Amino acid sequence: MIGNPTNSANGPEHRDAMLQTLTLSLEDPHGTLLGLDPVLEREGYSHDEILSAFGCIDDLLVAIAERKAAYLITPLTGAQRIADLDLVRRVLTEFGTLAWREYSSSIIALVRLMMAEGARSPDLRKRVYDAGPASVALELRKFFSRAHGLGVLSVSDAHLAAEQLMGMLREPLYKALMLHPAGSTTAADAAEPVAASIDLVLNGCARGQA
Amino acid sequence: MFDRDDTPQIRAAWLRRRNSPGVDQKVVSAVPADLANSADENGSLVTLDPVEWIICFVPGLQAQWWHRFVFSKHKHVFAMRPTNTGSWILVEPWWSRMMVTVLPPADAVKFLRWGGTGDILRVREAVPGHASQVRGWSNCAVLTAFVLGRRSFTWTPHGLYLQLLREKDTSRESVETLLVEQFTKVVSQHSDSALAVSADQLSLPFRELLTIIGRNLLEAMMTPSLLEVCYTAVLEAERYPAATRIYAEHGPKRAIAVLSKILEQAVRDGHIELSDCDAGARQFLAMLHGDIHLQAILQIGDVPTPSEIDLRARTAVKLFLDGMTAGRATAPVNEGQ
Repeated sequence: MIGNPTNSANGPEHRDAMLQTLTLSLEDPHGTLLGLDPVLEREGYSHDEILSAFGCIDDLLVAIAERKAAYLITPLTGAQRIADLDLVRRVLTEFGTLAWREYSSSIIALVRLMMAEGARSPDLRKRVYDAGPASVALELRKFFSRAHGLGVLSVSDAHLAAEQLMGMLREPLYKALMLHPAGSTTAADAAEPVAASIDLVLNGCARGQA
Repeated sequence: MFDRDDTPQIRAAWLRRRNSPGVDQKVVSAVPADLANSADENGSLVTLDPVEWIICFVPGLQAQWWHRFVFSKHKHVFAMRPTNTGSWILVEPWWSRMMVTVLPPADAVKFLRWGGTGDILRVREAVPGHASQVRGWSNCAVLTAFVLGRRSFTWTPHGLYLQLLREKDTSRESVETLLVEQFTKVVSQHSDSALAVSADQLSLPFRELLTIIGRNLLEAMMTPSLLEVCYTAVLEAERYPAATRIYAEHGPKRAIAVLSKILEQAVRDGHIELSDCDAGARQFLAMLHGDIHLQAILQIGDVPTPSEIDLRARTAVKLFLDGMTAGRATAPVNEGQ
């Protein structure tokens, strides 16, 4: 549950401003394996301020995950009519580019925070995962199902197709977490890998392939 | 190297026991004869080679009145030993009990980090040993000496530290070196097993071969012991980057390299057309990762059943090969042998 601040200094605007600042701060994932304290410290927030605005640290992380997910799924939820394959490609490219950039920066920090803070609070990882990555995957699955229902794609298992595309878009996250843990984590040019991943999925799901 | 579970040594110990059964030893009436007769020359039912222990001499975690009487960095001592599955055996004498437990790697790192604040030694135990039960006050130094089978007259961790350091086979260790050594061993074992392709399998249709490899990789990456090592590698990336790098080199990077070679061979054999096999290998591995690997690392969600793993491998191969084939818009691909 989100905290319910009463005074004006801790009102919804102040809470939103804090959320915005802390979400932006996660663009730099350094130090996040030590938990949230280094992030709060570099943004000048105290634990008391966080508790007052969000109720608890866990709720802050869940709120950040919800915010990130809402941002990522904008292209998917904004697509009113799935008329043809070109439109599907455009929507997925926009989504994939956003996802690639986020998986190159702030979501690295979020995953590390889930692991670091998860030791303190066992439910945290699941709550943040459900609010963030799971809700994004669900929206992508719905998009594939709609495209299938309208006859634009042939997706025999929308759940697995969504997972497989998400897996490919998460490449920078895996690189940062495991392959180059001590290296810099700048968002590489997303265009080529995102296009290649979407081509693979769309070609594999073209009508007549199933 | 930690050789406790190495197959050749287990085999040697087995042969030694079979070759020298203790038939001449006195049999106690209450014990079945087969057990009594299988005792080795040390009176043990099992013959084990001496193993190496990691002995951690540490400052106290919390202030105690008696700390002023002992060396600042060596107020306590405990023993650890890695297993082949990524976990560690911990033997820690307390005031009130002897804690003997098996720790997952992430928890073991906490103890190793504590060890890193003092000194860490690698010491081979003595079998049958020279320690004595009549030492009297059994504090952590005395009990650790006992674990190692050492005759010792010291009651302080620092005294034991100096004694062990005088032995020529004792070596100093760092936390990162220990993690690198263990990650290399555990991850290599899983990679070797997952990426092994038999001659029979190489002659299968390419789609079937890729499905087998995909299934093997998924099974390996979802193995609890490997997931625990992976979790630790990610969690400790800033403190011990060399250990995380080793995980990557022996795990995902090696998988990508082997997959890339298999795809290159398939291109040469005319089964597929792919301009960048390395990128293709990364895509295929990422499709296998899907969502379940991140969930598993984060310790949420259920472990997939073998049939789920099979389904995931087959759908990943189908999407990968169909996507490649349809993208070329040329004649159908020959995926035969």
